[in-house]
Amino acid sequence: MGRLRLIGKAISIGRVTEKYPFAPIEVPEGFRGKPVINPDECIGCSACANACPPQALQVYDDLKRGIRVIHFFLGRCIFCARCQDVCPTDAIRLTKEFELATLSEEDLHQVVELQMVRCKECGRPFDTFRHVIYLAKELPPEQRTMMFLCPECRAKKASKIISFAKGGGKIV
Amino acid sequence: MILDILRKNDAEVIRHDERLIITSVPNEKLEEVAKELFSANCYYATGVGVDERGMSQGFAIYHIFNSENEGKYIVIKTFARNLTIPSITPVIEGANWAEREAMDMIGIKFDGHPEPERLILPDDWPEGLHPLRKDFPYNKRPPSIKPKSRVKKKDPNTIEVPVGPYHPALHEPESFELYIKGEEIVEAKYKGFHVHRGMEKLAESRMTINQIPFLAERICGICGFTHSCAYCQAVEDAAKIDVPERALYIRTLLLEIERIHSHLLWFGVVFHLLGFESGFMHTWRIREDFMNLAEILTGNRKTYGMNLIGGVRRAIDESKKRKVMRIVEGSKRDTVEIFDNVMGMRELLNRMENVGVLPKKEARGIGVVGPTARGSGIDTDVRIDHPYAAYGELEFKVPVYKTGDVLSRVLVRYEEVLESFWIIEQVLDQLPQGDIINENYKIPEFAIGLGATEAPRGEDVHFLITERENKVYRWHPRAPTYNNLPALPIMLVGEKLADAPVIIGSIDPCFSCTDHVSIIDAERGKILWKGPLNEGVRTWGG
Repeated sequence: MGRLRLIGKAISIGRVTEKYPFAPIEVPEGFRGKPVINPDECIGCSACANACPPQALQVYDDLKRGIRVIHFFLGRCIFCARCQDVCPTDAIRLTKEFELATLSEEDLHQVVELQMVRCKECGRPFDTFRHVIYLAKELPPEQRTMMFLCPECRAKKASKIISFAKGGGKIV
Repeated sequence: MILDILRKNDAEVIRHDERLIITSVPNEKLEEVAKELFSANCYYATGVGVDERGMSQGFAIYHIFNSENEGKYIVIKTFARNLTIPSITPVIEGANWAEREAMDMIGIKFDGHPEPERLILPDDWPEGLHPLRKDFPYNKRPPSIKPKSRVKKKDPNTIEVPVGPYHPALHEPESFELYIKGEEIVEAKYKGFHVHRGMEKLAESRMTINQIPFLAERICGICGFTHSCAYCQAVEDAAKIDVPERALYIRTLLLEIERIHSHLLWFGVVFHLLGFESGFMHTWRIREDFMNLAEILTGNRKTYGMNLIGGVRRAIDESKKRKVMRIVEGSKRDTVEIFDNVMGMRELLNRMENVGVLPKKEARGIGVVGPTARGSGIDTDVRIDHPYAAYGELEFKVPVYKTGDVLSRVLVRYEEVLESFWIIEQVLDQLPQGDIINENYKIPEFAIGLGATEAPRGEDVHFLITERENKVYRWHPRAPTYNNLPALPIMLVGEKLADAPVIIGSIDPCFSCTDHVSIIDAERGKILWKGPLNEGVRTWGG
């Protein structure tokens, strides 16, 4: 008896399978698909690389060329959207794209290269231009004089200034 | 009651509050304490071996007991003396695997253990190397040794039927040895841990505290969210973080959506194993609505990625709330209709009634959890015994059946699905306003935390010790199947071989969750794959 009723149920529901992949399929708003970095907005702060659980996002400095590389490898991505959460400039966004199969591994990489600033004292590249300018907005004007110094030189200079003040204006 | 037992046996109480007791028990009193706790109706949840050389002295094991009556977890810590701790397996059967795991991974010896054999490490792993010790680098790959050949006694009257590690009737690589006489199973042996993924080591050595929820979620492909919840609760417990109420309700909602989809999936599998394909199609059709619902709420069908320490990442607005309401209403009607039909099919019921019986006494000894325990007359449910998320404020029933056969496990799950519909309705009705995450916290060093959730398959326990710089010192997740699998031989013996698939299926086994890295054919000692794990899995794991 039960079995006959199930047949009736199946007929009343009709077909439930989708025509995909022969017809496109919709994903809802807020779907976590392929992440894409907008190279114009990225400031190279590495917040995304710190947050990324599978280390799909890596940031490293090419000191010879004075360039910071933001390297995203889709093959490791778990689509958690933590990078989108922590990005201060909304440069990385998760798109609705989910058809990611490809014949060439190159399609799985996105590389963003940003010009770095060289330290005024020692000449070593230490941060990207964009990040320095982004941080400068937050700094009080009197501290902006040191913004083009690398952290080590900045520390040296700061301690000099302090000892200068302590020594009553004389260099000790 | 429990405190009396502990005090009587010279235990030092380190922490005592309304949900957790942490104590340190001297070596020689351990067996006595375990025995008395067990007779005081505390069952064995899990045991965690820890290499404590980085935080205090030597090696220790933490035995974790669950007291449903007092609504507390009891953590008993014992230090190893000369790397040796008395075994409690002779008094509590359930501690067998946990002690052997600590033996493999940390290298603690258990005095008086009835079968001190390897459990987790593969047969070709060199002796004396223990991967969860702190001085073992996470990326070290030791050379393999030639496994000892196992000589088997052969009984001319029985036939051995090996099922697995790779077998069309199994969905995951696991191996059963069934010994049969004619049609009847006379002995059953289980050999697991073919898909150990080294997650604990990965988390301890490479990840930070807010990245691990995403790793925890990937322990299981079906009930991942409950793992990430349990992990977050463990950290929140260790660091005393207050979670906003709205976040707790959202967690509850997603946990119940996950339970419904998991149970519906399981019904489909069992119907399929019984040869009832149309039932399989119908339950999976209903389940699809819940997958879409999860996609709307979280941005993905399965890996929700909603949990962070201190709360959740996405709020639920009014329009989403209405969508959930609509889907739940329709699915409830559909589910009841299909099951009313199924329960009228005599030929189906006959294959489940009095098949694979697990008596209550054995079930308690092993410490089975979840629907497997509730089908054997044990009234246990973490949601009631140790309320977490928003369950303390909601009203729902816990179905318990006494017969202990496959049918009772089916009925328990069916009623649970109906209760889950009811819980979702309550959550949406009472959903509070406010923040969804509290990010204002500090993680203390070497604090112990415990998180437990009721996963669709049963109690899920995460034990955690924090470390400075947002790292974890030790994280041990214990999935419910870990406690349920040792019950399978009891269910299988005396049954017909043809019933074996549905009996194995009836505990809703989740092998990969239980195993947490080489791939080996244990029978012939032949190495099937050597090299990067991911490629090995692609070639052999499927």
